Amino acid sequence: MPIVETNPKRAFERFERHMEEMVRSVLPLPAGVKLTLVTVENSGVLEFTRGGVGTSVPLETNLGELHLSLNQDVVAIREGLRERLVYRVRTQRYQYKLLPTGDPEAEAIIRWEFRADTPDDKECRNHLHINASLPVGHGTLTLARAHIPSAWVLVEHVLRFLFHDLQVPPRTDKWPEILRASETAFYEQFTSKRYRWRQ
Amino acid sequence: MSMVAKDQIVHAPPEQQTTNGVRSGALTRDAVLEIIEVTAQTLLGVSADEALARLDRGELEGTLAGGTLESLRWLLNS
Repeated sequence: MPIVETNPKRAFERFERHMEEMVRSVLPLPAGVKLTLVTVENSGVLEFTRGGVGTSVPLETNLGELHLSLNQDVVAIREGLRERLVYRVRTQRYQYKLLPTGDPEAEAIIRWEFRADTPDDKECRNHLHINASLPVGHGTLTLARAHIPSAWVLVEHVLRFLFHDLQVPPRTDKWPEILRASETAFYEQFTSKRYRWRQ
Repeated sequence: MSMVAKDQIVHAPPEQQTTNGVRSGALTRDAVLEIIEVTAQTLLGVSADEALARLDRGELEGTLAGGTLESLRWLLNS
């Protein structure tokens, strides 16, 4: 059963605790950097912050220092009626960015994005951008602006990419188990879906 | 939109914090406005109005500053 709470505040706190503990357990975070959720009524924003301002996390990769930023806009949606009224956290937008530097104006190397309110005649709601261009036909395909369709991407998937492909040193050798457990928890506790790790 | 010192947000009232500490928990829309102002000044060195204008012109697409400002504006207007 998905986890639901009796009010938005408790639903948000549970979501924040789940995400913060998962990220902190596998990814080294500099002193003063936290993954925090701020909310106004039934809406919230999750991101890395330092001193109250959005920030990125430096990563030691096999290609040198890169940076990671996360943004998730979430809402607590009401379900049920009267005495069975409950709240569940739902993602309205995500942006996960692999950045070349800590410069807040630097364009991401790769970014995974989702917007729930994307109109049907626009891009795929889940997509990614790559800061590269390809010569195609008589022109150039600018992948930084093209919306390349993707599946639903979790923070855990991005962390897996960092550890496996970019060889970012995790905080623990148990990162595969932690990410797997977190992915499962996300699907089974925060959504109504069921997660199938293996077919 | 009034400018506030960064430590005013860091030392938000206890009811606006969780055990995770800084800038966490339930805020008022005025507090979000203040965070937008501090964010614009800290990340871009400009006012919130100028930062949001740059966001609307697409100049911050794919950047850390653009992502955080877009989220905060969404929170303010949600």
